Amino acid sequence: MLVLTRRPGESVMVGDDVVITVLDVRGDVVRLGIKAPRSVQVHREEVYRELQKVNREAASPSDLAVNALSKMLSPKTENVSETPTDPDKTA
Amino acid sequence: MPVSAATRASAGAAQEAADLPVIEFVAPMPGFPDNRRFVLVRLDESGLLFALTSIETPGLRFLVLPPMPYFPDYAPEVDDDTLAALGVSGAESLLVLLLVTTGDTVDDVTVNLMAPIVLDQVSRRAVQLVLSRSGLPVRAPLKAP
Repeated sequence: MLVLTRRPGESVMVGDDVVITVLDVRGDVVRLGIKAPRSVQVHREEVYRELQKVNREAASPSDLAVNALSKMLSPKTENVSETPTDPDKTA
Repeated sequence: MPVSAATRASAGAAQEAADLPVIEFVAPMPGFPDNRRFVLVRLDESGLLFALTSIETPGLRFLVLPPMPYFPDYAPEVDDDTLAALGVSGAESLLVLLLVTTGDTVDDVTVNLMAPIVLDQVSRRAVQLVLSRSGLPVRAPLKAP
């Protein structure tokens, strides 16, 4: 891991277009400002890790699971009175 | 190899996907950095269940469904930066979809309320919006309304 010392107001660049600025330091809390292009997702690590995990769990369910869910959601078996009736097939 | 009903359904979905407009993610979904291009395949007649299907990784798909009618009060706030990135002209072109995690049984099905897919139907750009300060769960049980 690269270790750098920075003061409030100073920044670190990651590549050409990510700038991380130390805004202020109070006790054991450091506030950072991060400037990055939209294609770079910036989140707290614990949030991002949780999202990676839940996304991986959600990925590529079995046909069996899909069919079971489809059946559960079907208006034939559930009283879904507010079913959207949008005729646009592809949303 | 015998062709099962499920295999035929997948082949049908793939065929259908070939005709669907491509959705481009402005940022990849966490955990899937190499997949930005998807198509939305409708899985049922009532329009309640879709498969967000990668056109870059064969076999990769995510189940998504609209928040209505399960979470009628769900109204994620889309920030200006996201609106700009999606090229949104008006809120009416935005489509919000929830990612579904299927469990061992249908009683274990959950949806991710903290990070919905937000899609602009005109620009065909999408992003997984992360509402990290909302306190919303990433695994909310899906129950019939």
